[in-house]
Amino acid sequence: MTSVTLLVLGAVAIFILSPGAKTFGHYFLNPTIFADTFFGNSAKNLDPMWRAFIKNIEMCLAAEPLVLIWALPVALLRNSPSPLLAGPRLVATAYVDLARGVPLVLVVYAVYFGLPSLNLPFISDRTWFQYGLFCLVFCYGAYVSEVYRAGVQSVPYSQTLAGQAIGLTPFQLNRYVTIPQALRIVVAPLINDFVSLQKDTAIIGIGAGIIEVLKAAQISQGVFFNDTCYVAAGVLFLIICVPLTRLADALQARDQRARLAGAR
Amino acid sequence: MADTIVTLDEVVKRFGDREVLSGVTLSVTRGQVVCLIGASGSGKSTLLRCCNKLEDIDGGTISVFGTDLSGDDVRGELVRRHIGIVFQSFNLFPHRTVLDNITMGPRRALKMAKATAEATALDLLTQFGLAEKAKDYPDRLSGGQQQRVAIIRALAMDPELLLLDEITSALDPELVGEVLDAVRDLARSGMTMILATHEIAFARDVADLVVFLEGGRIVESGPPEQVLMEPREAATRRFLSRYLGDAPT
Repeated sequence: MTSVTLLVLGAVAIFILSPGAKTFGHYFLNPTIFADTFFGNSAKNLDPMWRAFIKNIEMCLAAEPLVLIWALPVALLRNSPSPLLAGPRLVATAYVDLARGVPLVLVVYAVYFGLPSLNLPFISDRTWFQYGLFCLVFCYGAYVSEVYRAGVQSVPYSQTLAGQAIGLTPFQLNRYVTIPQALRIVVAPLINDFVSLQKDTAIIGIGAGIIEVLKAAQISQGVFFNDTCYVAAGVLFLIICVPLTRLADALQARDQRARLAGAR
Repeated sequence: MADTIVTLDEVVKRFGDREVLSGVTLSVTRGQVVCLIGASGSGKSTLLRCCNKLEDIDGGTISVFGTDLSGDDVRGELVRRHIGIVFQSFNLFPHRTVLDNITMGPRRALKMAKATAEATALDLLTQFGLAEKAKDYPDRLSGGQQQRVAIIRALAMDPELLLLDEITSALDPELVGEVLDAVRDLARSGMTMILATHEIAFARDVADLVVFLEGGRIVESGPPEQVLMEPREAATRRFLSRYLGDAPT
């Protein structure tokens, strides 16, 4: 504990004692600018940043349930041993590879600038919000489907045998035996992915012509010529992320204890 | 002779290129208690799992209650609704209470009403001296209690045949007795059972037919007093001599 304290104090000391500490403090940790950015400044015609952040929250709250739903069939398809589903399974695998391999920012470019230029009836005239949801669900659906898949695979085969032994159909086996046990295992990793998604809503702003938190920070930077506004944006994300991460840790610890208690 | 409910004819089962059962022929009649003995890897568990189509066979035929299990059109879950199986490692559902573990099969597979299923389950729990554990989760129970719950879970389906796969092998020695007593009661009640076991003394006590397997083949079978006391085959004698040191005579 003391060594950690020393390390932290040391890092702080390096900042404070550095030759440019004063300039750094002025441009990154300026309390007046922080307050003006955070709560807005009507004299400079600057809207409060927390209001722009609501857009990010709306986006992640709307995307997360869709991600959780969309990822389930992808995971079940990837896990299915049936030879009848070989074709769809290949498509699902290709999708997961693509969505996990391509950075979200590129997907955002492709969707916001590519889809409208196709001039298709339904696809090309969606709102920025719908395009944003699509990008997030596309990318995070792949991650979450892998979390589901790992969860289902971590339920021991003996449980499948036990379910089969009492005459359950394959569907009932999933519904009553495998999925309920997998869900317990995946709660914490799912929260971690949610934290990540929540942060990545900032990337949507790059494509969408709207003022979400990252745009708001850029505007504020243009007004004050000061980078404290980016720190303010970071603080907004931290306010959401830190409690969620703690929750994930707590759930993981609880799961660990439960498993130790049930160990034999 | 009573009616035959299980008939195995020249059954062959392979895992990859390893042949686990090499032509096993056996029939079991209603009310009979059959004990499979043999070293680990001799094919006992696989034989049991073929009887309720947890494993598909690669050759020969198995017919249970007149249904040929080797057909591709036979749905395993329908077969297994009449055949209970209990595993060495209990395999209770850890996310469900004891009562829910027992009622899941009757409620979901047999579509029994919740109240009926629970009443039956509580009757069985009382009969096995576990009534006060109904609301507990499996991890609160001892190994012996868990295994008795697993037996009840199989019995709740009202099976006509019960398969027991080395059900005492994962238990601490002092807990083996309570589980064997439960099986002995079942045998007395006339339940048809095939059990894989290492408990030679117990087999002698409950079995109507003892089958000694080695390398996926039946080496010797017959009434316990013959196979266990006066084995004809050298392989059976070798196997038994390794176990008799442990088993009371």
